[in-house]
Amino acid sequence: MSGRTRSDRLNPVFLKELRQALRGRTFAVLFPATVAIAVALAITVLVDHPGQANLGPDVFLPVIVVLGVAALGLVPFSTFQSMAGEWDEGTQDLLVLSHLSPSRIVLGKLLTAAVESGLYVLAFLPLLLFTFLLTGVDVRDILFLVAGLYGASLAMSCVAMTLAGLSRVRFWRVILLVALGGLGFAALLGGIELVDQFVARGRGLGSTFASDEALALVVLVLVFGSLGFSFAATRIAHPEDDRSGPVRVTVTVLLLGFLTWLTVSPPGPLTAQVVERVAMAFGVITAMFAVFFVTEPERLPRRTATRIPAHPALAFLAAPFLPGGGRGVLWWLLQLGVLLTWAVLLPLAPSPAFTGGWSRSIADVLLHWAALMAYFVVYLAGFSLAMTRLRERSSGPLAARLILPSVAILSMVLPIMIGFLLDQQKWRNGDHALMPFWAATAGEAQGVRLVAILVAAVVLLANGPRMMRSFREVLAASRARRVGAVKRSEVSAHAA
Amino acid sequence: MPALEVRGITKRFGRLTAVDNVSFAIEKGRITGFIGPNGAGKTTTMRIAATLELPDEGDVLLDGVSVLDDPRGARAKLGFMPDSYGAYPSTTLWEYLDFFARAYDLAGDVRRRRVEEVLEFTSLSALREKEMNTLSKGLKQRLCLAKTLLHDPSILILDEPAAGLDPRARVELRELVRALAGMGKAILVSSHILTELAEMCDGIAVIEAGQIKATGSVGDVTRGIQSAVPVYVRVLEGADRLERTLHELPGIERVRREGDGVVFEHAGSPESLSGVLAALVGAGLRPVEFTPRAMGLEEVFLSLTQGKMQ
Ligand SMILES: Nc1ncnc2c1ncn2[C@@H]1O[C@H](COP(=O)(O)OP(=O)(O)OP(=O)(O)O)[C@@H](O)[C@H]1O
Ligand SMILES: [Mg+2]
Repeated sequence: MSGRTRSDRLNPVFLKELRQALRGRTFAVLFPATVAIAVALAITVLVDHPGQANLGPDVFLPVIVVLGVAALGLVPFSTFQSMAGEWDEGTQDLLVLSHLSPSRIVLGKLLTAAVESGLYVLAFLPLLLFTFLLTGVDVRDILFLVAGLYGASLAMSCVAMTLAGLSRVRFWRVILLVALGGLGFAALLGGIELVDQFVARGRGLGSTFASDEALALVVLVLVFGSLGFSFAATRIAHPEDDRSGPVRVTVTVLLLGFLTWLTVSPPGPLTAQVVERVAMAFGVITAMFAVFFVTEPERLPRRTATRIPAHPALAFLAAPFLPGGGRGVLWWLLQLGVLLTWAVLLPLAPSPAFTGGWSRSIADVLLHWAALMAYFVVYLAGFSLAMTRLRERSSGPLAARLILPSVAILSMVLPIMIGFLLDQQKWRNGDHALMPFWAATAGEAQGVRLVAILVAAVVLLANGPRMMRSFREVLAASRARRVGAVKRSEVSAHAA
Repeated sequence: MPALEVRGITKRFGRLTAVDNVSFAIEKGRITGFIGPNGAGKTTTMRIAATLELPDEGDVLLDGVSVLDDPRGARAKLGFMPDSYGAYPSTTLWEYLDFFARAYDLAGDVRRRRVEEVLEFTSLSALREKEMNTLSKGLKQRLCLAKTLLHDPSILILDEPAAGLDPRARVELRELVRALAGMGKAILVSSHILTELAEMCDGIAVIEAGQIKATGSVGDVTRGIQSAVPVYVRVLEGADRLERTLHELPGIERVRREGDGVVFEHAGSPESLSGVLAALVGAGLRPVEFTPRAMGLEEVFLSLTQGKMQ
């Protein structure tokens, strides 16, 4: 096509928001104001301590806090407003009707946040690097902290887009904004603590202390960013589109990423105990996501049919990642399979940090883990199966999402309360058969573990037909696509 | 094949059936008015046809493409103008159109030309650098229409485009819509005011409480509900004799005095009505006025819909 320009390749939403920002007043006022405040603070500190050495940290801290307020507060807030505006003005309908995909819309807004945040960072960077000249701050620390803050700003903007899409009701909007503000504040406090460690107490990148914290920062940014992004994209999609698949894929990719990283360059020795803890932690974390998936209605939403691979083998592999309650159970079992495979194969990996040889027998580790997962099998597969009728109603999934964890928590807490009433020391301490973590690890709970695994096996058996149906539905849709493709090609051959 | 075909769609919100087995069709180049009181189900029907909502039953075909089976294919054929303006703050008319043109994957010269064309068509070229939030309602509505035309859809669905417009803006809108139909587009326009649409539309579909009450041309619909036409007669002298004579003629009902004249209702063909006039003259009466009173559009609407609230 003639006359194509470079702007044709830009994300349209990004371009639009840039134009709006250039024309609007908000950024034009806030940006210089923020920079002015930071400069004023820096000058105040310098004037208060004339001629003092090692002033770097004293100037660095207030300046980066102001940058933090902008990056973790102002930028996500404007992203929230821009996303909420699409809903309020009805333009989100117009976007859905266009050729823009939900992820391109979210990406456009994220790019806008990236530029806004980037401008703040660029404006503050000279001031922050100047503190290096005042001595007392390492330049690598400065760059790392600024990069970390930038990443956190983007992750927070992703979360802001998800929150903006959750409700159109004014009351809930306010609550969601407060939640965003609270999250930003918490991130700011955590950031200040980190800066304090790095800069004021001299535990920067050069020290051994820093690696854990730096790692935690990177992980938090990745997790919040990627989940925020995929949730925001599903909020824009039509209710009958695939609103669950992107999140399922994201969580699985994150899990695989973590396990790979743990295997290739673990932060500490991978003892059997560490492996057990990792497998348990990820089993529980993925179970929390699975609460959303197993409570979906069973059938495939109508608009997902065209997204199913026509090839039967691909359709089979895609099934756990397609929406539907039964496929939610499949998805979680797949995560457990990944964890199990990792734990079993780990000793074979040529990993320098693996201390080699299990300090306890592998069977023991697996039994503990399986017992803990057995409880979650009952909560996820069992409870959601019991709520099949409820889940098919229009607000049923939401109700099921509230009931399922409530009942699970109640089953853990109720015996504790009874323990208080009957003055039963063990129950009072939470050492009872319905407490998954006790049952999985306590030495005396060997019998409980076996019973739990047995019950879980029965629950899985009862879920068998449901899982089979969820597979068959996907395979049938895949077959329908193949037949449809044949028909279409016949039609076009005929037309030609 | 009709350009737009609504096939028995039903949509329920909880216990409320907002749209109840609605069917109608629009041919290429025709404008159909979609008329009903507030809450009748117009917007819901249109949103289903625009792939934004799913029906519980039925389907809508746009140029033969099902909105259920192939929403993306259907969207390419469709221009939907919702009842809200969909404005962006701090955005000029040109930027707004440029953005949506990009959103429809138009690139380079094609995009620039297309934006110019729709600006030209809606006579907004002179205002291209104005911010859209400073526009009057009528101009905003025209900008929305321009936006809807960017990807050259063959079917237009316009939800209450004339709401809140002054008479001049309404006439201008009507001319634009007429011109679009002239280009061969099939157009569905909704309103809760029949007179707003009557001059613009080739046909109407009246909906109330989710159900279609009547479809056809404005004339058909009017005649369909009007079984008996009231006729006003005034004679030079002898109104009493006129009344007696009318009572004796066949096919005449409800004779009553009204001012200087007499009103009767007549349910027959135009031929039999002219027979009535001839009979009056034959009886020596000298009519100076003989006026069939067609129902006003508002009365048609009121008699079709019972003002049921949903
Ligand atoms: N999302 C929804 N949830 C529940 N009820 C809805 C929803 N959308 C529409 N309704 C109800 O469906 C009925 C039909 O609404 P619709 O908006 O289609 O009417 P309308 O003919 O467009 O009315 P108006 O002239 O006011 O625009 C109304 O009673 C409305 O309250
Ligand atoms: Mg409406």
